[in-house]
Amino acid sequence: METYAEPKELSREEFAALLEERVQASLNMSVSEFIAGLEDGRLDPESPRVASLAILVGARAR
Amino acid sequence: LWVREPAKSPAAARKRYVRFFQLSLSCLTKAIWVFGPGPASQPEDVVALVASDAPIHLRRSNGLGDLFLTPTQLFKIIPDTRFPGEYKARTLAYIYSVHVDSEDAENAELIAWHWHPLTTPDRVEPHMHVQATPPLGLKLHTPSGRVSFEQVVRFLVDDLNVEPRRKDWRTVIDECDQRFRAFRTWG
Repeated sequence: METYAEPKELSREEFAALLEERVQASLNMSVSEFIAGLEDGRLDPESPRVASLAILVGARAR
Repeated sequence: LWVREPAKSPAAARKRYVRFFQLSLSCLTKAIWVFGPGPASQPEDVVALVASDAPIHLRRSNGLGDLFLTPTQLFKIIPDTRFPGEYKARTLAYIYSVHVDSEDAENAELIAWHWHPLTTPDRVEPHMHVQATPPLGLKLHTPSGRVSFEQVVRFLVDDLNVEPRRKDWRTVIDECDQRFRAFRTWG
């Protein structure tokens, strides 16, 4: 088989920073605002821009 | 044919899981899986996986327009009851979203495979969203059964004409898929 790159493990802080960056870039809000939006029903946990990030932050959507 | 690689510790099982998952991803792209601690609301052993590229750019053959893939997954390592003293990964959630425009994912999603029981306790079954004629759109939760990332890779290449990144992609994806099927505990 051909060679391939290795997966990269991030620390809790590094992964949190990556999530913050992606939520900001995709939805123009902070992770805490994102979680609040999921929990109070303002954000649809199944919409294309939200779904992949929602499973990563662990909020229970209303 | 493939050889079983026993994982005698949770760390070994995690390493094995992400290594084969990376092999599957390497069929499509140079992007890598990036993984780290899962959501704070979940137990500490939950691991989150995202791609290094957000989204992954996929080129297609025959002059077809490019596609974009956004894959994410949560998993944890559990004792493998079939092999005492060994460990395996257990998937907890996944989203595999395919869209046509990286700048407008909200309106450009073609198809997405979802399983997110932790996020939506009222919808715990795997399902898919498919771009359909309005007013149906993407809102339908079409039952799908469990879909592996390896199945998605094969679908992208065989049905959507995505150009594989490696010549041996079919051998690689077949082996990874066989491993998945051999060790999955549901679906």
